[in-house]
Parts: sequence; C-alpha cells; structure tokens
Amino acid sequence: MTMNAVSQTVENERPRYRAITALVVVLAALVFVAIFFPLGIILQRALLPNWKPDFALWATTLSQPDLMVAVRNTLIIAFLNTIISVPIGIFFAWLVERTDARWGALSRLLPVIPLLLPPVAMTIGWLFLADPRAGFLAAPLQSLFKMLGLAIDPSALAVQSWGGLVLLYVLFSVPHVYVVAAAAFGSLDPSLEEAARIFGKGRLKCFWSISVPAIRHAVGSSALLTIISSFGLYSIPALLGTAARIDVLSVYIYRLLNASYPPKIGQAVVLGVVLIVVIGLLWLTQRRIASSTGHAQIGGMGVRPNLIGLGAWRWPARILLLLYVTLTSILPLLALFVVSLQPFWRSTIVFDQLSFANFFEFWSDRQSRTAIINSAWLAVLTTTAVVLIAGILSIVGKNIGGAKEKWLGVLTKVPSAIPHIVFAVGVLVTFGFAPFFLNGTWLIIFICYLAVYIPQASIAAESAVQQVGNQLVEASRIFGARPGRTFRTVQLPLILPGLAAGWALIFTLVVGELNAAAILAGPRNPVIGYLILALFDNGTYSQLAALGSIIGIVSGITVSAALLFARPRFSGKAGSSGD
Amino acid sequence: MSKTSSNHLRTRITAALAVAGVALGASAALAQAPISRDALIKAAKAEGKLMLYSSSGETQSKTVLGAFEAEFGIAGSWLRLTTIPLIQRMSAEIEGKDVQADVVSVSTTVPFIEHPEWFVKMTKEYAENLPKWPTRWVSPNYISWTADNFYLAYNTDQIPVGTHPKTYAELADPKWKGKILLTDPRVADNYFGWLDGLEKARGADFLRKIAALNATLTPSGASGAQMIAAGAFAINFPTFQDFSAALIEKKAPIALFAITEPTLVSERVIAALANSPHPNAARLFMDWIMSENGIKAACKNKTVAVVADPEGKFGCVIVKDPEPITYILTEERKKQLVKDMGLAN
Repeated sequence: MTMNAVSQTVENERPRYRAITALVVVLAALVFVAIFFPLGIILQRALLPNWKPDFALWATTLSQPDLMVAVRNTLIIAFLNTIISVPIGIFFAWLVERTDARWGALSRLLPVIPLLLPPVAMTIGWLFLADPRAGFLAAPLQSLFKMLGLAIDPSALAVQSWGGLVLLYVLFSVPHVYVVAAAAFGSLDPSLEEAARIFGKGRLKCFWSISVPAIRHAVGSSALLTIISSFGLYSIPALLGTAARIDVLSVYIYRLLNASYPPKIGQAVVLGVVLIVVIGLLWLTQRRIASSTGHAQIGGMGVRPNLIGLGAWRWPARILLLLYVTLTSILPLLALFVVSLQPFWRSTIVFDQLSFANFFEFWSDRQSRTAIINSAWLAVLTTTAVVLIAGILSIVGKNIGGAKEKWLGVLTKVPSAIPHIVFAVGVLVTFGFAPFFLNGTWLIIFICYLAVYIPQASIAAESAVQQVGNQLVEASRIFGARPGRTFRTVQLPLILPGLAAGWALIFTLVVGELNAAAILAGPRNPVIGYLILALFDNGTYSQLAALGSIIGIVSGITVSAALLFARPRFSGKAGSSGD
Repeated sequence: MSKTSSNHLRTRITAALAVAGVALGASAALAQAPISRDALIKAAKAEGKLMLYSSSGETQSKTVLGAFEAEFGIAGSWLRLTTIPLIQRMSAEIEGKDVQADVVSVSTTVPFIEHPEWFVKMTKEYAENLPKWPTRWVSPNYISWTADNFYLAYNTDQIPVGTHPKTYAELADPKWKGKILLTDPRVADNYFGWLDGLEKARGADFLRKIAALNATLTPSGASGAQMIAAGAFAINFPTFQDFSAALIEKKAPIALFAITEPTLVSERVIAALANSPHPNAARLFMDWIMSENGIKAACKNKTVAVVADPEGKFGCVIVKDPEPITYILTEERKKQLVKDMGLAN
C-alpha cells in the first residue's frame, strides 16, 4: 500500500471516526449525568442551602475532636495497609505471572480468594476463627501456650486490635493489588526481563529493578485502590475497630448518617469533598510519578515469552503462596462454612447439630432466592457496563492527553469519596420520581452502581490502557483499519486482561454492596445487600455465614470464569527460561 | 391510525384518567372522613394492599401483617431497615411525591415532630379505637405502639439463670469487669437516650463507675447478641429482645433480663402517611393495631410490650412504671455523656 493510498483510506474513514467520537461523547455525557446530577443535588443541598455557602458547617465539621482521632487512625491504617498490601500483591502477581512458580490455572486464582466474600462476611469469618474467647482457634492456642509453658494471654492475639484490623485491611487489599498487577505482568513484553537474566541479574534483582518498574502504572493504580479502600471500608473497622476502641473515618461518617435523625448529611458531604480533593491529588501524583519515570508497554514486536525459572526456589515460592492462602483465606472461609452449618455461632463444633438448614432456609424463602439470583444478574450487567465505559473513557483519555485527560481522570474518581448511602439518596431524588419514576426498579440500582463503581473501574482500566503502546494502534490505522476495528481487534484484546481484572474486582464489590441497597432496594427489587442488612440486624451469624458462603460460591464461579476467560496474551504459551 | 380513531382513543384515555382521578380523590377523602367500619373495610379491601415501613425485626412485621391479612384479606408487605435509612428513604419519596409506604413504624419521634404534614392526624374520627389507647401514648399525628424495654443479655453457660444482675447498681459491680460487652451508645438515638436516662436517674458518677468496668464495645445490639451466644462475653447491655429472638429460638445459651431502677423504655411509634397509596388500608390497619386482635397479634411472639397492655393480659411483655427515653438531645449533652462513659476525651 502506497502512502497516498493510506492517506486516502484515512480520509475516507473520517466520517466513521466522527460517528464513533460522537458515540463516545454521548456515552461519556450519560455517565457524567448519572454521576454529577445526583452529586450536584447532594452538594447543593448540603453545602449551599438556599444557594448560599454555609461556612459554619465547614467549621463545625472540621473542628470535632473525634474527627481528628478518626483521621489519624485512618491515615495510620491507610499507610500500613498500602506499604504491606502493595508489595505482597505485586510479589504474588510476579510469582504467578512471570515465574515458573505458577502451576496451572489454579495458582492464578489463589490470591483472589479473599475477594470472593463481601467484607462483612470476611470479617465475621475472622471473628469465628480468631476471637480470643469464642474463636475456633482460641482453645487450641490456649492449650498450645500451656504446653509450651508460655504465659501468653490469648487476648493479646485478639483479632479485635490494631494488628487484627491491619491484617484484615491487608487481606482485603492484597487481591485488589494482585489482580491489577497480574494483568499488567501478564501483558508485559518479557524481553526486558530476559535481557536482564541474560546479563546475569539475579531473580529478585530482576523483580525489583526490571519487572516492578515496568508495571509502574499498575503499581500506582493498585496503591491508589488500596488507599481508597482504606478510607472507605466500613464492616471491618465497625466490627473489629469498635471493640478495640479504634475509631476510623468510615465509621465516623457512618455515625453521622445513621446515628441520629436528622442525619448529618452536610457534615458527611463536607468530609466527602475533602476526600475528593485528597484522592484527586493522590491520583495526579501517581500519574505524574508513573509518567515521568517511564514504564514498559506492550509493543508491536513479535515475542516468544519465557518464564523466569526460580530453580531451587520454585517449591518454596509455591509453598509460601499456599501458606499465605491457607492462613489468610482458607481457614476463615472454613470457619465461615462451619458456622453456616451450625444453628448459631459457638466455639465448639457439635457434629450432631451440623446441617444445611440455614441454606435451605434461604432457598425456601422466595424473596431471598430472588435477591440472590437477581443480584448476580445485576452485578454481571452493572460490572460489564461500568468496565466497558471505563475502558472506553480511558482510551479516549489517552488519545486526547493533556489537561483534558487529567480532568477526565479526576472526575471519574469523584464518587469514591462520597459515602454510598449519601450518593444513593441523591440518585433516588434525581431518578426515583418525576419525570423518570425509577423508584423500586432495577434500573435505579444499576445507575447508582454505575456511578459509585466508576472510580475502581477507571483505575483498573487506566492501568491496562497505559500498559498498551501506541505502535500497534498506529500501525492498524495506517493500514486502513477503522477505529472500531482497531479497538476491537487490537486494543481490546491487549487491555482485556486488565479489564477482566477490574471486572472481577467490581463484581465482588457490587454483589456485597450494602449501603446503596438500603436506600434503593426493597421488596420489589431485592438485592443481596438488603438481605445482609436484614440478617445483620435481626438474624443470626450462622444465617449470615450461610449467605456469605452462597455469595462466595457465586463470586468464585464468576470471578474464576472472568480471570480465566481473559487470560493474558502470553499465558499458556510460555516456557521456562531455566536458571 | 386515522384522525377519528386517534381522537376516539384520546377521549377514552381522558375519560379513564378522569374516572381514576375521581376514584383516587374519593378514596383519599374517604380515608380521612368519618366512615362506618363496614364501609372502611370495604374500601380497604378494594385497595387490597398495605405497605409497612418498619425498623422492627422481620418476624414482628411478618406476624402482625399476617394476622391483619388473615382477618381482612389485605396482603401486607414490608420494608425493613434501621431507623435512619428508613426515614431518609421515606422522606425522599415524600419529596418526590411518590409515597410508597402506607404506615411507618420507627424508634424515634423526631420526624413526626419536625414534619407533622407527612402524617395523617390521629383523631377518634380517623380511628375509632383511638379513645381506648392510653392518652399518655397518643400524639397528634402518631401513637406510641410499643415501649421496648432495655435488656441485658447474658450467657447462661457462664452465668446461671437467676444469678445475673437485675438492676443497674448490680451491673456496676467490679466483679463483672472484663466480662461485659457494651453496645456502643454512639450508634443510635435510642442508645443515646438510654445513656441520658441512666445519667438522669443515677448521676454522672454512676456512668463513670460503668466506664471503670472497661467494657468491650460492640457496634450494635445484633452483633452483641451473637457474641454472647458464642460465649465471647458474659453480659451485653443495653439491648433489645429482637436481637436475641432468633438465637433463643435455636436454643443458644442466651437469656434476657429487663434491667430496672430505672426501667427505661424506647418508644416505637407508628403513624399513617398522608398521600399514601392505600389510605383506607392504612386507616384500617392503624385502627386494627389498637384493637384487641391487633394487640394480640403484636404480642404473639412475646417480644414486645404494647403500651395498651401493661398487665400483659393479651400476652404482651409486662413493663411496670416505664420511663420513656428522650430522642432529642443536644450535641453538648451527647458529648458530655460519652465523655462520662469513657468513650471520648
């Protein structure tokens, strides 16, 4: 094809390109309406009552001594969580994706096991296991200490402590880091690592100085995800932090909204606005660091990938991974399952009393059954939509670049700072009644979830998109492919592992979402979150454990399918480079 | 479609809308005006449905609505949420002129006082059983339905029945140090009200005595009950019967005792919403809950104390000399109370 012919083809494609651009603009506009219309209503009501700024509200909100304590504790947790979760998640992702420690598809799924449970189920699973008096481990530990002659009070190892709190935050965050990093490692051109190995770099040196910098965007994105979840997680600090008298920001905001009538929405929104600024600045900083130092991208060169051989370290690495998964995931999951078979939570297992009664109870109740089935469908639809939208917006952002990209990036992170219950009220007011009349429908929950999960989706999508180089896209355009075809046949396959990772993350978050469900779900449109709330307030932990187990099974099947379906392009073809 | 048929269709739609409008208007008017019981039952049956927004346990709503349906053939459904999200949702629906609830029952009086226009006025014309309801518990736009006692829950494996503390003074005994799980009073208005009532009755020093027990906190009565049944702690307070009902049914080692001196109670109020979708069903329900059958249905599970049955002759929990807590406290008062309890600096 001559250059003239190429120019002619590109010229002919312009109308189609404009149509796609227009489609993207309309899509972006719809998403932004879904996010900013409700948000605008909330902000106006809370911060500009009668369209006048209420400075006293800011002063009252920010001068509370309890707030300072909660902020301090939250920052400590966010810091510890990030510096522990990010290295662990990235190291496991590297082990599984870039070394021969991987064994089959199973190893790819192991580190995401904690992700399969909603945080409230994971937390009670750990209570069942590690409560110092009623946990399944309490009596064996006491016997062990006695046998060893150690005068250790089991309360010192209570999960209701700083240590327990950080542990659970880490368990929640590691899979988030892992899936983002694994997608980036899986898509990474291995030539740099191979070159390093040829030039005699050791395995860990290779990991630290080649592999990690090569996925710098994913590292930054996963750190940002970790920080955002440290700010927003509620169930873990509510159940464990309250007992240890460690107040954090999410619990503080929850009390503002739930402890008294009228709820202090204004104060919660003020804190949300401060969080928006903090998260926006963190995102910009992360982008600047990742961009200024450069990172490897998926190029257009043909590669024959090899895995790094760990040699004698192969099995120790596998054992480390298995040990981590057993201690952090399998044991609490087992505890959860055992309690789901008990009539109520008790520290001793009476085998005669174990039964599937709690499961049958759910299945025999029509509303519970409907909630579980429909929640799964809603999660699939919402997650697919939000990830696709985030993917398209990320690609558009990368193409337009500059300040517009930055604004697009910041705007898509805004909902992460607004408590779901506040956002849900905004969505109900905006779309629930005239002229939309969506109250009590699935569509209103769909819209709300679309907005509240766009930050996580966009972080995962940006990481995937930034990892893809421009060579292939430009080559595709030069050879006359339409933009749609370029997206479908070149960009999408390359970013698919990253999008699938985001999909898996968001699916589990949607399935276990509680606070927006409280406002938008009901007898006409029940979701699992509504069931969890009802059980948490008036059921037994055994029923909650049974529901957690059901969610775990549903999430397990779906997330495994997503991660295996969208395997990175090199998986399955790689051989080991040996030592 | 021809112009003639189009006009014809438009005329039919307009006529149908007009009839529906008249019917709705008539229905709403009927729901407020004096009416014979038979006519009310007929109108309520014609509506056929009732939606209850309630913060009480699922079992309680299910039992009461089941009995109502059995008597009148009107199918009841309910939305169960904790008090504040429930009111937030209801207020958004009222604001959006899309009221979904017919009747609301929550553990706070504040929205009824702040927004009387949201609710139907309680008059003897509206509900013929109203004069039978104790006047102490009747307000212009709601009635206090139940007076829920504050309980302590205890593990019967650790504390044999009968040896548990019975008064707040006994509860403050240092022998319980390390064995108590305290429901965090900062989580809800009614727990704050309990703290306020306790301080008023026994003084700030008493709160400091409780604080000295160094109790572990739990974020809700629900999680407190589970911890007690599991044996993690010996005693949890303050709590409500609802939280332990399912555990007791499953024979968990947990029992409840209504603490006295003072006998603090949390009012659960109930009201019919103005502009509700089924105003006659709501009116019939409000009247019915004040009837003997309604009281019996509310007390069927033996977990609540209906204020009109203080002696328990209809099977309700007996509460002698109840002292209702207040739901309206200033921020300064709240701060002082949590400070006295050792929960803030």
